Amino acid sequence: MDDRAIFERLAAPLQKQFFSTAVRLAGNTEDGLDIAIEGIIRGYALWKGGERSGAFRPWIYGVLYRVYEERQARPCRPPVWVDDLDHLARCHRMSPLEPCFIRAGEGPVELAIASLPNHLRSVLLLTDVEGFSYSQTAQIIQRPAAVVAMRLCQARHLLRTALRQQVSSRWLKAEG
Amino acid sequence: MANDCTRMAARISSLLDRELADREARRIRSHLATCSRCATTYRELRSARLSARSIMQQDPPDDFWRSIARGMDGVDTIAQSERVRSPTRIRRELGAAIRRGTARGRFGGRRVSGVVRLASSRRGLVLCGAAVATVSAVVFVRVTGHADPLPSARQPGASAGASLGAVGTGRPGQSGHGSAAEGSEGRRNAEVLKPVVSKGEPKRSAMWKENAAPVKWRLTPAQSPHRSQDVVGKGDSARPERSARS
Repeated sequence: MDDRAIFERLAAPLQKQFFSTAVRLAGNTEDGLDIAIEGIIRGYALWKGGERSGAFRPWIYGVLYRVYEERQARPCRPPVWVDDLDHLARCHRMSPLEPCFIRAGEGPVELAIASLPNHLRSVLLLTDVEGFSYSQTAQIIQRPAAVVAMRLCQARHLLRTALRQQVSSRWLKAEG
Repeated sequence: MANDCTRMAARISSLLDRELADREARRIRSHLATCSRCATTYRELRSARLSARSIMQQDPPDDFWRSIARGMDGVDTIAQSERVRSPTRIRRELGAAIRRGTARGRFGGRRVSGVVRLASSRRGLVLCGAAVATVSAVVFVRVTGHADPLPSARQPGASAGASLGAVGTGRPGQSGHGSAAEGSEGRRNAEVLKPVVSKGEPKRSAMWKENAAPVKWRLTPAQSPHRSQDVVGKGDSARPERSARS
């Protein structure tokens, strides 16, 4: 079995998670799609060149995160957040590449995660959503594990606060 | 107690992920059992973590993997073309051809000319070196008048400085006439050819003299007895006859 066949066998089952993480990191579907495709292709080029270390999944997510960081460094379109579904319904011209958080039938959790700062959201996505350990997340984002623990703690506290506000606003709407 | 709770809040998150040491985890659990505020924080963070874990994965577009496959085809193409055009590969093939002594017509897709092929083989290098040495020796003899380019190496008594001085001035005949310390063979070689003033076309080497008189070379009788006798004999025998006739 050649390099490409092995790589496809390892990467193909991860494409759904890979795409979701890329979209949530980028904040919109179009950029997320670009990041996911570029990440896998760059991972294949590195894999072919023999530049691979450790387990496959954290390694390929590390490649994805580097692509995301490079995209963050250069200017791109800002993410669009719409936290009111009625506002979306009132929109006359809706692009087929509308924000993923609206299309995916997300709840308050998606919106709360989307409202986090980039450096906290990435750690939360990798640790809580993707299930990586602290050391694996540290390997992916190339920071110490203590930084991961600190960012994750901040992200969870912010997520808790955002969820609490959303729940209270919904409760107030339901009461009114 | 409030200060203790502030410090605990940062550790509760790590406790949820079981990333704390056993002793630290036991200490925090005992604190949670007594502090209702920290216990509430723990419950809320745990529910937030579970909520984050429960969000749904999104399906990629239909042509997602097709786009990736196209990109991987491009990576394969680039890798193959770089492998063909790699300078390392060209050097390796060229070195192998030189070791074989026969260079093929192509190295890594590049056509190599016959000169490069000759120069890249050991036999060609030896032939080039021999040709250069031969031409240098001929030029040296023609310019300096030395039949032996290294007389001092043959004659230990000969003065290297004198011979070098003759070579440095480049004037024919001076190496033999100017220095009495020269060896006998060096002197003999120097006296074999002597400039003779004639009305013919001037030699290029004679133009170095100040008056730039036309110079002709001839053998001296003392150093080449047989040939000079022949020449002199012919001349001596011819002149009286001409004078007798006249």
